[in-house]
Amino acid sequence: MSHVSEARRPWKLGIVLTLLFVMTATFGPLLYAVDPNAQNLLSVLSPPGAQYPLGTDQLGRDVLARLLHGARYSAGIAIAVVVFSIALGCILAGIAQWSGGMISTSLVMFSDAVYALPGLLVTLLLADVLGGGAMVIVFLLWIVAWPEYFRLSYSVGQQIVKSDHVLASRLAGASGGRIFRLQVLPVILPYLLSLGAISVGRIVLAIATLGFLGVGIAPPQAEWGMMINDLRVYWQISPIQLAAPVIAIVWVVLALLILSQSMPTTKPGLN
Amino acid sequence: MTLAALLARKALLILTITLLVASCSFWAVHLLPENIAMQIAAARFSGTEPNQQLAEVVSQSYGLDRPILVQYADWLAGTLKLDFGVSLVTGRDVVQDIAHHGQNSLRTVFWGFIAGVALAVPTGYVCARFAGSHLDTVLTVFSAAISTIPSFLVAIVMVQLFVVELGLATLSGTSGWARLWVLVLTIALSISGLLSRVVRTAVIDVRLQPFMLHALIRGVPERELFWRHGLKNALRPVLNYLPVVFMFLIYDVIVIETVFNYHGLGWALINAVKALDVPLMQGLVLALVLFYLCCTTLSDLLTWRIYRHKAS
Repeated sequence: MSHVSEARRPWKLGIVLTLLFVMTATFGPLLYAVDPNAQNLLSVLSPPGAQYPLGTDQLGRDVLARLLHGARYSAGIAIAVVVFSIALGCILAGIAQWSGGMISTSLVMFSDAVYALPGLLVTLLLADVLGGGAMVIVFLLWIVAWPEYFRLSYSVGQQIVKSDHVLASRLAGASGGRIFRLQVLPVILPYLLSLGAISVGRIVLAIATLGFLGVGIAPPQAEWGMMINDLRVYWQISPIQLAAPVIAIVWVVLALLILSQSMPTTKPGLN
Repeated sequence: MTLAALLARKALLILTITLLVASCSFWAVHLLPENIAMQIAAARFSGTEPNQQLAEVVSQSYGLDRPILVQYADWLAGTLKLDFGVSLVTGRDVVQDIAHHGQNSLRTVFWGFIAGVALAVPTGYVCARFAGSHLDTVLTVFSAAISTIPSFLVAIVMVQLFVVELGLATLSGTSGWARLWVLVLTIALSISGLLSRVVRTAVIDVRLQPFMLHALIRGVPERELFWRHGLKNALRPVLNYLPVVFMFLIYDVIVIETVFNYHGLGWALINAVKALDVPLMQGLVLALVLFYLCCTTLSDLLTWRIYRHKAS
């Protein structure tokens, strides 16, 4: 029994931390309605006080406001990428399962080729050429993220479709959609969500890295990685302003790591 | 699987990916709504307002006014011959730049990898040997923290600590060890976090196997037990994990070199991206992708060499 309770505890912690992040990203900018790009050059790098709860950065912008808008930016992109990836991965896996033969083989090979690419390189190569911005970042992260979901849903789906209970429903005359909804989806969904939780953390990191490198994300945009890069020169004058985005990133990645580890383990064994 | 089949499969994968990346980068640049010649002109002659005349000069000198399919065929043929053209900023041959920066990168990546493995394997083994102890918990928390923190933060902290505060290393000047050791240590730290977890799990898994108990009952001394019967089995998941480590290495090359201002492939890539130096960008990305694929192929060959008797 002790094993069960041990597994439960971090699960709740992960849920709470993740929910806090989602709530902050959703309602934070509404409740704390300060323009994240408004500059006040008279109070540059001022310490936390009544007017600025987390102080100001090197251009006199409110760090708390930038932190909250950065949360919304990261969360929005990450969730969009994961949703698109799950959709594309599942659809392509369905096509591969359903048609088999040449189409299936070539799809598996194609996804393997994309999967073997270091994703950051593709993003770096195309982000500035395509002009940057949130939509471009979503697109670029999406085209390197989907193969994971394809591999997972393909291999899990293969086992289910071959199983006896699916054969029984098929003999009973169930349609493809019905089998998918009642027999494939409930099995596959926990795996997809667990992988999705890891992905969201990883994508938040990737966005921060892009912001830090200054590629694809244009300067006025409030983004955590870029905040760190801007403020790291002033770390002795304003340690709190620098610590805020650092803690935010570690928070999100840790929360989603705990969350995904307490879900069923994924085994995308595609051979 | 025979060696020939393995090599053929790998060669096919490398060829596919090379063509994929090359095509991707070509079409992204040439299907843009904005005129690429205008962009290049703006990036190269920053300061002056880019005008149509300048764009036309650029377009002619880089052959951008030819039909797009001709350019594409040209580009693919050039890529397969490893000829990426000339850098738009420096005017040097891209291959020369890659060779020059590649030497620098290879040095740090090689030693970083060695140091990372040297750090992760003993850590993971000790954790597994004393699983559940305080030592295990401390090391687990530490490696989890290292793998959670993005590598650019680790790099910044290393710079602040060893260069600014303690003055034990330099950030510029020669590429001697006085400068390199911090870089190597940073790369080692960033890959060792997850690697030590994999080693730990692998060792614990093997130690719990029935054949280990059998060997112990048969009279194999406990000290020699793991090295005689466990090592080869524990090695396999670690070898399978190596491609992920190589992926981290590529990311580290880009991020850590930028933080340390170390003139390697990653640093050159970020600068090329910012200057919109398209040929250099494409060449560097392909070089890094090929480097990564060669590393994974090597690790696959190693796996095949060790386990070929069991391979079906």
